[in-house]
Amino acid sequence: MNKILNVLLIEDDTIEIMKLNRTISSLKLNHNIIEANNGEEALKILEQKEMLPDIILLDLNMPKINGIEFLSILKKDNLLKHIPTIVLTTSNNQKDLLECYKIGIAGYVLKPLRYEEYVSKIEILLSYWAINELTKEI
Amino acid sequence: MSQNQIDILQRALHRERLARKQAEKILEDKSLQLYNTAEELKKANEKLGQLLDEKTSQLQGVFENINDAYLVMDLSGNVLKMNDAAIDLFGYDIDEEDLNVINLIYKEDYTYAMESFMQLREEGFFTDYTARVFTRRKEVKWVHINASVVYDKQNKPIAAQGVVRDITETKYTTELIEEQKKQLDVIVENAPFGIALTQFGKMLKTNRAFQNLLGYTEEELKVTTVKDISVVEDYPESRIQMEKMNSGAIDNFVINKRYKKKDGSIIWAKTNVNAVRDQLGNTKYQVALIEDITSEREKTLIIDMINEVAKSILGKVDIYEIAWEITNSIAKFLGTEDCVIYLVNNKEKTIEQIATYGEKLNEKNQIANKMTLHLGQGIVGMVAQTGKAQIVNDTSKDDRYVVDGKRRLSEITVPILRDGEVIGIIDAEHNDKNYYTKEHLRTIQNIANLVAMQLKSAINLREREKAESQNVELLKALEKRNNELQEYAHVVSHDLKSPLRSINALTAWIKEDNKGKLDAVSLQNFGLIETTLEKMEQLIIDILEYSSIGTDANVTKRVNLHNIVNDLKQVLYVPKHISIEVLKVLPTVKGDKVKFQQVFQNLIGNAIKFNDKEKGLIEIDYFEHKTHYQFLVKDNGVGIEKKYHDKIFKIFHSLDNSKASSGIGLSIVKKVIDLYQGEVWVESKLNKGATFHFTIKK
Repeated sequence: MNKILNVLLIEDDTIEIMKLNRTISSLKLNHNIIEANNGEEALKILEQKEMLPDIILLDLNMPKINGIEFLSILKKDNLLKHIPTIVLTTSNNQKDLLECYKIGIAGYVLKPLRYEEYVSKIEILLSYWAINELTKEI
Repeated sequence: MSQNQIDILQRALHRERLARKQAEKILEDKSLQLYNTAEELKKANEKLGQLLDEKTSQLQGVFENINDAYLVMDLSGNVLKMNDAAIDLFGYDIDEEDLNVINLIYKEDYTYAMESFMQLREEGFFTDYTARVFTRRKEVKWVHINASVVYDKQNKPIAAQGVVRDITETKYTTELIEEQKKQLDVIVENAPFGIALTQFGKMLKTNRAFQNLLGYTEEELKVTTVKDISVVEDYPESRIQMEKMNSGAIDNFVINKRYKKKDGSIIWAKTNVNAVRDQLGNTKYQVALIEDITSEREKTLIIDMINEVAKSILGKVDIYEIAWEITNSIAKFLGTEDCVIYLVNNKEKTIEQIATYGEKLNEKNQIANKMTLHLGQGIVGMVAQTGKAQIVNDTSKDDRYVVDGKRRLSEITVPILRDGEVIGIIDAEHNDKNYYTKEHLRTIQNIANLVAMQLKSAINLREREKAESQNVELLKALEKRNNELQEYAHVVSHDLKSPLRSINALTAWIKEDNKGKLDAVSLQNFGLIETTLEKMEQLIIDILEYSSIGTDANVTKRVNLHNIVNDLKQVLYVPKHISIEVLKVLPTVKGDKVKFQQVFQNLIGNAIKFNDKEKGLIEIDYFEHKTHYQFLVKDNGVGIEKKYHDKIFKIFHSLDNSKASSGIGLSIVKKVIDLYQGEVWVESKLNKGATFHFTIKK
């Protein structure tokens, strides 16, 4: 029995948010999507420690605090640094990729052009994390 | 006979006997007395005879044994007696033949001889008669004669006697000495170097060269002491040497010292002093040989200084360091209190002091009150402008003079010229008027020439370093700009890609939400939207890739090209009718793996894309050259018209719009190959396939 995941989606693009929501509903998955439009918002959400997400899906190119900056803040927090964070981006910049892995990420997924491809990638991603054992440390 | 008688007789006999005895005794006594007297007389007589003998033999000995010739003649000159020495001297022997002294007279001395003979007769003697004689052996001999007249008991002159000394040898020796002395005097007098005979610091004798050297007459020098013509600074060393000589430790010494000429000027002379000692070894005289080395010394000084300057600035590239080195040397050479080096700043049209000597230095050995002049300002500024060296003999009469610290009356200003351009100034000042000479000027100009070369190269170096550091800065800025650009390209590509994804998602949702409601044309249009999006996406990817190549070839890892091509064969979509053949095992080169990947990917990708044959064949091969590898990717595809062979490598020059081609691929190839200093070109004819060649430097 797959778990129901609490997924924190940090994404500034409305259509991207719609894409994930639609993907989950079209795949009839029960995961909870918590939306944050940027890094600041996400940090506010994470401050309420009772509601920590199981995984974080993180876009890199965002206004205010960009993805990498957010990641750095996250990894400095003893509690939050354990949350698997998967980067979901259009950028295949090798520099970004390396930087992210250095700071510490659980995955780096490129957003494909075709929506169908996106759906299949998200499906695989979520099913993978759904079968993983995840810590619930508070 | 009676007894009486007998007795009487006997008594008488006795009496008689007694008397006789008495008489005998008296006689005996008398006789003894007489005998004794006779003996005494005899002794006295003997003694007298002895004395007489002695006297006679003594006289005889004197007469015969004196070394000098002795002869006695009558008043007519006939020789009566002569000793052996006389016989030897004159070659005549009066025992064998007669001799008259007139025969002995040397013709030329006849008058003198007669006069002397007259004197002898009148005054009874003559002395110191010195003349020549003519001997029997026809020799001419010099003689010295003392003669006197011999008188009889009545005081009547009867003869003359004379002692004759042979002075031929002495005379000859004297003459020789005279001659030698004359010769010596000639030598001494005409010697090219000065000679002085001194005693207790006084000059007893000097030669002409010595007099000329010092500008004094011989008489003046006789009343001048050595001290009078020496310079105080040279006393100590002279004294040390003199003391050594007087103590007997040395017999001579050489010293380079100064002499004051009569006109007050100074000359340098190499002075060779020799001791002349008496029998006790005390210094009796000193002979000094003096050679004027003033000009040699100056030349040596100049050469030494130039050498010193050359040595001190050799290898120095810092103009300030060079300047400091030369100010010291120049100041020392000129004997000057103030020396400053200026550097011309052509941009600011100024001259600034960069090194100083003397009063311009502060306690920290830095320039005190550093001064900057405009070109044309002051004597220095003027020289900087005209490039002509100058000596100012009296600055108080020169309006241009700029007081720096304090006024000094003489100034010498020499430009440091390079290619006719004044790059610096050497300037020195002296408190006295008329201090600097043309010789000074020439020497400083030489120094300036020497320094110019070094300074110019130093300045060039400084400018080059400046340019280099500017280059480094530029390069850094460029790198930063490149990085920014690359980042920018990534951001732009992200920003451009995102809407494409959104459009794609939205069209997908419309299609999904309206399933069965859309007609075939609409569906076809949706298909076109998707294709367009894909083309757009590819364009963005290619542009990003092209802009990412950059200009950096620094990554020099070993890259196995054979592996790269084999990997690509897997990654690339290769239709079944097309085969890719790698003819040789490709080499391993140095470089960036990703970049080589891009090259092969684009070339092979194009070869696949532009193949219209039923059986497509792509061949990959390479040749090794001395300095580089030459690779080729050959296909049997559509080929390229000759006129496009250059154009295809330019960005956005796709020859085919219908295909998913951005027109960037070959530009990427060219950019990478350029980066590795190689070349890329194509051999092709339309419909005859194409072969792309490229080279990579080893």
